[in-house]
Amino acid sequence: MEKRIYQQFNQTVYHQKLNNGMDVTLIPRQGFKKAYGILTTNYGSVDNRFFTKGSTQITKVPDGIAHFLEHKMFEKADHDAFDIFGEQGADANAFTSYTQTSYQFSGTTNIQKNVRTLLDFVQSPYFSVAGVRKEQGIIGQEIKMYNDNPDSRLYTGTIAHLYPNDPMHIDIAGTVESIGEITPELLMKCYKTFYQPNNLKLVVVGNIDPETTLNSIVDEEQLHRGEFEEFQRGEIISQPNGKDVIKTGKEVMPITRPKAMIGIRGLRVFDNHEDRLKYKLACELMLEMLLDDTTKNYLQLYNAGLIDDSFSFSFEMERGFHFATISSDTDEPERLFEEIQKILLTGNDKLENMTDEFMNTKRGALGRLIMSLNSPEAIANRYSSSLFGSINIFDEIEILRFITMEDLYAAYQQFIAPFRLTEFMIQPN
Amino acid sequence: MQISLARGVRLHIIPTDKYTTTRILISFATKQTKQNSAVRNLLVNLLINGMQKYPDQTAVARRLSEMYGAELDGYVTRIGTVHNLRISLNIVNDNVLQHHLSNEAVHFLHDLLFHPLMEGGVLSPQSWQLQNKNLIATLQSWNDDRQYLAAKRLLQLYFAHDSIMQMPSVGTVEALTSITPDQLHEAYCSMIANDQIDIIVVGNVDEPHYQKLFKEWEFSDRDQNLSRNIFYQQGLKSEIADDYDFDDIQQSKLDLAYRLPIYFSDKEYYPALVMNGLFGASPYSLLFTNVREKASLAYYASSGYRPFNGYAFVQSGINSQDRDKAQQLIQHQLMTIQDGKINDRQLDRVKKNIINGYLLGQDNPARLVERELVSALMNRQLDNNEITQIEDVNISEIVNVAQQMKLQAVYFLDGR
Repeated sequence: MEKRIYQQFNQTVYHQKLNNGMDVTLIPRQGFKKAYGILTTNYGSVDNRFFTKGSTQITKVPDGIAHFLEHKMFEKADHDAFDIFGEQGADANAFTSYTQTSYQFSGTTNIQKNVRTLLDFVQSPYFSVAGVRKEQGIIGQEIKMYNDNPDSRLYTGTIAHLYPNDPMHIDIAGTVESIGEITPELLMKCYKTFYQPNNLKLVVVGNIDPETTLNSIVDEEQLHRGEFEEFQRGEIISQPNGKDVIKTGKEVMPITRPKAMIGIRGLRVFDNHEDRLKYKLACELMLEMLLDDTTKNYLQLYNAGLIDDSFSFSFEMERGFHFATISSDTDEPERLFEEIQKILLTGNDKLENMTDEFMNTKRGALGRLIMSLNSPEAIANRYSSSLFGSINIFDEIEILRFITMEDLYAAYQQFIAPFRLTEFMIQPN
Repeated sequence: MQISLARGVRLHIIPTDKYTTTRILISFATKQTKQNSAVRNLLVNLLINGMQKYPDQTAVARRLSEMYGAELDGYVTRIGTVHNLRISLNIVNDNVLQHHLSNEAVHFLHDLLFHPLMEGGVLSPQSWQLQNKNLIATLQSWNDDRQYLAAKRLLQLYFAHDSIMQMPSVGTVEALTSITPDQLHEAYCSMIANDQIDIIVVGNVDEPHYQKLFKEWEFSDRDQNLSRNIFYQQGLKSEIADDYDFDDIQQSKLDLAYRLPIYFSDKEYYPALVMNGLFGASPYSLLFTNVREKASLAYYASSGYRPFNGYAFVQSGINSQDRDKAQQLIQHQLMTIQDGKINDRQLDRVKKNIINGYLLGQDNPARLVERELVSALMNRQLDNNEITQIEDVNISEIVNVAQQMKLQAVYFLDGR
């Protein structure tokens, strides 16, 4: 196993690529009783068009199938994987995002068994017609629940306007209609393509001995080797210059107060993990220096009554695309849009006079990262996908220390300056 | 370790080297009344958003950034009949940074509590009207979350009309609207002078050093005796309150409330906890397996138990036309438990799930703080043999507590 040592935190991180291609990271944490494991396939809701081996014809599968597959992985011919974890005293869960699907357990007993159960159930597909039909009802309710949620609609509406011609314009769970087209055969086709070991990454954090844990993993993987079948993903971004962004949009819902969100679409592509992370950190720090609650901008917006405590912003990096969102409940969405546009347009000049604030902002970001080390979940989830290769949270702390103002200027030019924005709102009816 | 800083003011220190952080919670507790919840909610928002030394949100936020992203939080909540105003500060441990944040943190909290923004001798932050307006907007926007709205209306049906529980711990829009500056000042003075105060510190700390820091704070003696009537009791109503509203939504919400007069310190508390887990509070429960997985009626259908308030509830999200079917199925799951038709393997999973929750909680500093606070408010040591207690729960005890569940209120938010 490859070992990396982080002196400041008295921490060792273990990394190993298994023979079958699975990527494994083990992070023992002293003093903790629990272990948390997360197994992730590099496959999400946007991967609904792909070429299988030897085929020149693209396979198109229904929207929402990755999330549906996640639900169905728990069901087996004669039992439910939940119950096995239950009997081993562990909690289990799973989630699907645009570009990843993850399965998790946390527990304080039977840790080795739980690691093996996690690997086993995610690599033992069983899909039945009755099971699919039943799940259509459950996920149908899930979709309706999110459709009734104004914050969820604000977010999905914004993303749909940022990427109107790409698979992100449909919500991760799909629609009641699209999931109606899902069959056991389609699930199996997606499974066979995207759940191959070399498309999987396992991270285990907490109360573990690295050698023993690796042995359990290797033993379990002997049972799930399989031949690797090559595949190719369909293009995710149809217009790399981002000129297809729809500039404004709105929806009407039965709510008390308007909600506004600005989406910013980034255009840069990366082929190096560390560059990608540096850029992400620089973008995040830059947005904090322009908009977080330590800034004059924030205080002015707050005192003008344009934003309230619901104000928030975030930067999201995914495989093949990235974007930021800025949002608040507000009585005057149009005025808020105007003010935020102004802040973004003049951002570069502002940054030039903020070198003192930069030290503080960075210090805050460092402190928050260090605080998150209290949680095995936070440590594992942050680098559960293969997006940043084998970089982990302790590497991130090091990289963050060396981010400079120059990186922020560059991030501004690359991320904000092309100005691929959308303004989206939900209005009360 | 626990020391008294004045009568009714205690400092609790829990040293541990497991975490990268130190968490400090200051709890102000008093009986909830119809008047005090809204004003205390506004008060805590004002205190954390400005003080003499850092007079607005931006100045406060900058100070927190300087302290390596220290996390400040302030909010109100309720434990049984006790209204609880809490201020917490989470900082990176001194030993991780080679920087003494602990002194700065305690001084910051002192400034926040004892040197708020004053004008003419009265608590008066300039921005109080704006903050109140925002707080009102926040409360209103919670209603946009229909799961929250349905749960709120269910409890309005469940609690007696004149009950103090009708007033939420965060207050109401009406109560916030009528607050005057005098009331605000009075609430501040009363909280400092009269509330039971518990300061809880969890982290890699030097105990004598923290003691010394907090002993410099000026507290007077006070008598609250909160532990005596901390549990909320309500008699059995002979009629089930049943109500509904139509709403422009895709998913309807069906919620039920049951009286369950078993409290946190009762012998039957653990059987009640397991019964709730079996009924609907885990993925191994009857509601999850039968209402969601088998009948495919809902994405969520779950139960909760409030051991300081003596009730339990069910929440579900369903299609409008499935209402009767869902309600019957939910009731049927409870009857199955009341009849003792309990699957041993299912029960075993439920118990293990609850035990796992306890054990996982021991790794979470926020849970340690919460536990210490509950112990302080009840004025007694909590059990440290929960695991055995849960393991020991048997089927007849579960049946016995399930039979004490009495349906009292049903609310349906109809998206037809």
